[in-house]
Amino acid sequence: MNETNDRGFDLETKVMLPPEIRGDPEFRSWVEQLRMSVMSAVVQVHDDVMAALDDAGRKVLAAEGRKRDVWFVTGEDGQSLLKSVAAIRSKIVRELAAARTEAPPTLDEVRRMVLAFHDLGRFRVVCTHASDVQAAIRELLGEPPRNRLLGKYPIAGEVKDYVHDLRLRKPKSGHRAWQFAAAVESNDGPVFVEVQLMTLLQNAWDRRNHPVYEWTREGKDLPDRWIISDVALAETLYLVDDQAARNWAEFVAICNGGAR
Amino acid sequence: MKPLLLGYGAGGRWFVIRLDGGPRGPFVERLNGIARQAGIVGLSVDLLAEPPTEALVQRLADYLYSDNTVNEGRLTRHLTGFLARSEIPHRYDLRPGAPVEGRDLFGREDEREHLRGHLEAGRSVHLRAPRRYGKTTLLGAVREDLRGRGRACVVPDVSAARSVVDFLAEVAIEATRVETLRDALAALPLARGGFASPDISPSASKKAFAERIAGDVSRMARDLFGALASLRAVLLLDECSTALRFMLPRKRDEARMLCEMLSDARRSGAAMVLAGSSGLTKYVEFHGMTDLVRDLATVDLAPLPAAQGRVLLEELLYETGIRPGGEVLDACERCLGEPVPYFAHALVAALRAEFDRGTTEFTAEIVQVAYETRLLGAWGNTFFRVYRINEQDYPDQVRPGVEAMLNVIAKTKAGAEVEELRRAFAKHVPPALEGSHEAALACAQEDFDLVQTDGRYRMRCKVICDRWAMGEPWLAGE
Repeated sequence: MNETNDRGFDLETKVMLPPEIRGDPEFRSWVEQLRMSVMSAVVQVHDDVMAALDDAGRKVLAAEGRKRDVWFVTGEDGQSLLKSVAAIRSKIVRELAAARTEAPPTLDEVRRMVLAFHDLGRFRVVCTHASDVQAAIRELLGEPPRNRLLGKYPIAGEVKDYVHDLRLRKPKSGHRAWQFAAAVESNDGPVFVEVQLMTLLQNAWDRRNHPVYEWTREGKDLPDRWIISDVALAETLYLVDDQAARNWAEFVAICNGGAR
Repeated sequence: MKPLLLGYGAGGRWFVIRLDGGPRGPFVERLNGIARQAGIVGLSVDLLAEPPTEALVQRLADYLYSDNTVNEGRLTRHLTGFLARSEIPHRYDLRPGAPVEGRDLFGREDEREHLRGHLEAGRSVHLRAPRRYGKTTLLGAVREDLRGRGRACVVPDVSAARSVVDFLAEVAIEATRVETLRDALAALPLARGGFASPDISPSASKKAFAERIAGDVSRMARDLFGALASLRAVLLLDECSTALRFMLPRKRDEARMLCEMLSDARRSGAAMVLAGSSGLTKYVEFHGMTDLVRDLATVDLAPLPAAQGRVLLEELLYETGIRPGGEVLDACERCLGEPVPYFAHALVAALRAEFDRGTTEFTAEIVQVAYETRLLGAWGNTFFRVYRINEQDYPDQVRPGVEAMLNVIAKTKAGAEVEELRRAFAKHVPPALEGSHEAALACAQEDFDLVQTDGRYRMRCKVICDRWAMGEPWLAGE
């Protein structure tokens, strides 16, 4: 976590925080209260998604007639469903720095800023095959995808397809997923839970690359050669996923007495 | 669905609750609300991947009532105890019919504090309570408290003492068993010939002490109590009233001598607790010896306050594996009346017997049935054995009179007036003993937890009253 000087400036970014939360303990205590009050709403979304996917997973297995892992949901083992205190502080500072305001914001303004984070709550649905991602999306958003998660949580903005949508595919990043932010009512009004759906390989790439993401988010450069090579890795995994899904479909057909 | 771990941290320690299945969102909200109200300084809260090293992991089920609502009181106690004072939540052992020890002692903080305060200020105490109210348990706790402050305690069993010599021999034996007192006591004449070695039976050892004491009772008593006073040892005389009640009608002089010796010992600086009921004070009054007990401070041990009684029931039910519900707790409270821990343990043991038979969903009706068929039935006889008239030391000719009084008292919750009792007593004793009804009533007060309210005597403990009202012959000694 960044340090602040006597006047409340975040030393690295020169951003002024409200006086009530300039001290580290005060900031932590304030954010933890906020997290506490929205936690149950986020857990509820997570529970609903897990319950829906439990049922859908059984349907997939029944259709295929094979036993296998279809998907899992992160946070299921208690992994944090909420952005950490440090990550919240970091995001506040980034947003304040981007806003370039002269006066420090009020505590209420910062509070509203945090509650508006689209990834204040977040979890991931990690699927074995690319086809499973599509099945999960159908289960969660309907067919065609609607603007409500499970028919009850409104989606803020659009459902983003970082795999196929050329508008969204970033030439310098290998992050590939379907994702959206669902709004849920909490004690503090609506808060957002970001749900990402991706394959095992996309998740593996993302996990491996997280330190790189942190590095570049801080504005630090990497050589072009390195970036090209690393994005190429992600695209290679796309091909692997694509072929693996085809192979699997063929395998299921063979098992079920289909053409060889 | 794997369990979600909800962690509350303060001061580097984490209290983690595993949310096992079910709709977890509402639980998180409720648990967080409770944590917030608990107001623990520096509280952190998080959903955790794994419990941190310094974590106490608890099951959600341990904080739920049977209708799945959160037991706020229990969670608050455990949460604040662990995060603010590093206390590991205690699980109360179900011990029907037996004294409890250590952290199993529930409540009684004030009485414990008062006892300790009096003793540390050099005042001796009469610990007053009816049978089975927890005197022995409380004395055990005070012994631990005093030991922790470097004071030795001598806790003899004087219930079987039939004479002053018996009484002193029991005190002497117990005192020489206390390591820190042994060497100093070895210099006394009563230790002439050395203390009994461990391979000599207690009865032989007691006999040897008794012989030496009988040689010069007054001097031996003075020496013994004087030595204990100079060593700042505290005498905790449990069942003291039993010994005195045996002696008073039979060996009045011995009883007086014993009271005088104990009084002299206190005047010379010996600190002691005499455990018995308030009836004992009255009984001593009848025998004209009030002056010998007037210096004693008094500490009364009443039933637990209702709220504490409910918590004890809750704790025992959780420990038994029965998740309590409001309806069940209400029913338990109705059965118990003013909560006496002894009967709370007995009632939960009765419910456990139902649980062991396969009952999983408990209702008020099941509690009532368990109470009536088990606690008030043959199964519960053990708990009432001590309330049989034959277990008490009443002269044979007086016993029918006491039984008659108890029958009258148990007839109604409001009890009976003194005059009613006198008449009932008089009908059942020889004319020469009619006048002893007050003394008999004083003893019955101790034995059967009688209290006087608005001029009427009633049985304070509903369970004893219910049992006695059933008119079972075995309680009256047949």
